[in-house]
Amino acid sequence: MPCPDLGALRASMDDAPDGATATALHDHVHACASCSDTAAELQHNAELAAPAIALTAPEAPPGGAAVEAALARFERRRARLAAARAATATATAPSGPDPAPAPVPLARPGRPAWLGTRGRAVAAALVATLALTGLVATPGGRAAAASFLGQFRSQRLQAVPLDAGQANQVGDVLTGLVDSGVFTGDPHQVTGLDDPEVAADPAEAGRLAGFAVPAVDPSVLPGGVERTPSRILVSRALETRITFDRDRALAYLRGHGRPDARLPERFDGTQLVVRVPTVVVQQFAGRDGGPAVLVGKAGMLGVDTEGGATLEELREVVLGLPGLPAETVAQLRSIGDWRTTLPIPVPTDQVRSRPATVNGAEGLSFADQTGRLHALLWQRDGYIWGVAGVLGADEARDVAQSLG
Amino acid sequence: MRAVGDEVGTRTGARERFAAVFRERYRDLYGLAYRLVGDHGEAEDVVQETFLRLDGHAVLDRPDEEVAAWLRRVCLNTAYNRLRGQRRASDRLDRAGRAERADDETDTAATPLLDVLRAEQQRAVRQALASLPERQRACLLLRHAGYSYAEIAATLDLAVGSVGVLLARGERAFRHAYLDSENDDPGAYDALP
Repeated sequence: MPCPDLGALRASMDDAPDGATATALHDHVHACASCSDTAAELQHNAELAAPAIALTAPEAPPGGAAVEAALARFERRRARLAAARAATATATAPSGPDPAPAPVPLARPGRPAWLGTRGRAVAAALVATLALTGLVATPGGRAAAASFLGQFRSQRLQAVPLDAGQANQVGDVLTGLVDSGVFTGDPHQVTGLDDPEVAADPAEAGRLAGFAVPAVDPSVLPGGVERTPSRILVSRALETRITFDRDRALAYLRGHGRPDARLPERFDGTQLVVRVPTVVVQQFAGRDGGPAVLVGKAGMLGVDTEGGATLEELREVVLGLPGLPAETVAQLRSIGDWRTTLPIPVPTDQVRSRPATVNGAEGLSFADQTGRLHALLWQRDGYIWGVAGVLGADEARDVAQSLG
Repeated sequence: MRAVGDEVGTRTGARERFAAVFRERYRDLYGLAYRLVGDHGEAEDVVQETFLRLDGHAVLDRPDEEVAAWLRRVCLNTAYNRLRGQRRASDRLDRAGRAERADDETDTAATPLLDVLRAEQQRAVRQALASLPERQRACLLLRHAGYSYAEIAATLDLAVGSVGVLLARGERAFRHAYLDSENDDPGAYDALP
């Protein structure tokens, strides 16, 4: 067999040729050093492209209801166009098929986010509080790294892997809880989570935050990254309260396959008091001006309850909710001392994690699927620290260790 | 000569056919459009425009796979047109000043870390894809969205035997563009810190 062309080699990786051709091609590649090298390069290219391009896919495809809503929008638009044509038409023969309408800009349909700002914040607090997952430490903004005050105080971090399906399941349950009014929060309290202040330098950030903000040693930053922060953002600590409605919770449970659900009356009106910590993020710009490396430090996120239910009781209610992925619930339940362990949800379709240490402090390291992004998260001296960005694993460690 | 009832029946049948195609193809087209434009609302707009072009088009009388290929082709072209328009608008903004970008940065900064990083990586991937010729880009997106070589060939009006070459060249060009943008080591996936 002569050397196959580039296309045939590439197609063979996808089993595109027929069986006989594939066998001959396979045998040839094994025997031909040149083709073997080319095939290896093609394989390498494809393996790089696949996870990278997968990132461009929508996080969730439209469901049946969304498709029907899109069709309804289309029908309305078609009717409007037909009416406009009829109104402006002179005498035209209507016997043929409708002419294709001109591609005029569509009115932008409503964009149903998973939850609104308020809903997201409430849901975030719910996750943090009840399932004790806490949002991933977020030097970038609102929910931040977490440790629970009061009944809970984190001393270590633990990854809880979530695949896309499990993440969607958790999201659906949280959406249901918020939409059905089982948990309600004050939107005026939670919207402040979105408004970080900009500090001129680490010293000013430290004054705003109330804790020391170390300047990052420029020599440890990767090449192509600015030596000084392009922005330093400070999200101030704030407190919000989320109220539990027992009757709506019962209605929710009974409407989701738990007709015999019971909850003590004393649970009603219990408030979760969530203290979102102060978070400082130093952003270092890359070549294109966008944030390439983030260095964050956050205080404690505290959660407590006021009212008839304890945090442990509400945690049990939530972990028993129908619709949550059984494996995730089992992982959360398997955490020996949930009062001192902060689970970090890790989306396994995007990120891998493993335990790590930074200057002796325990933490977690993360890498995305393409290896371009790395992150470290660790806890020390009552603070959660994070380094993340478009940098290598060793580079992330160097930056982390330089912070003392 | 057709009776009025026949004509009404034909139109009703065409409407049902259109609705069935819409329901069957919407998700795939949305996914394809989203991969290119990276925005939910924009992707919805692209798909709506695509179906507007299908409405009343003779291709609706063709077999399903031909209709599907036609829709993907129109969807890709519509998305490309939008991207070109966005680029022109972006160029104008750049010339006018950077105020709007500053606003964008504030929004970005307010999002959680993983969102920021994911957005950053998506941006890098789209930037690398945008540097490819449109047919290579379309071929990569279609293949990595799971379309078969035959479907890609029908969409891009190619011989099936040409898909492999286009894909190979596209992936090679993508690798260069993607890695050149950050000069990172893709093999570092297992080398967690």
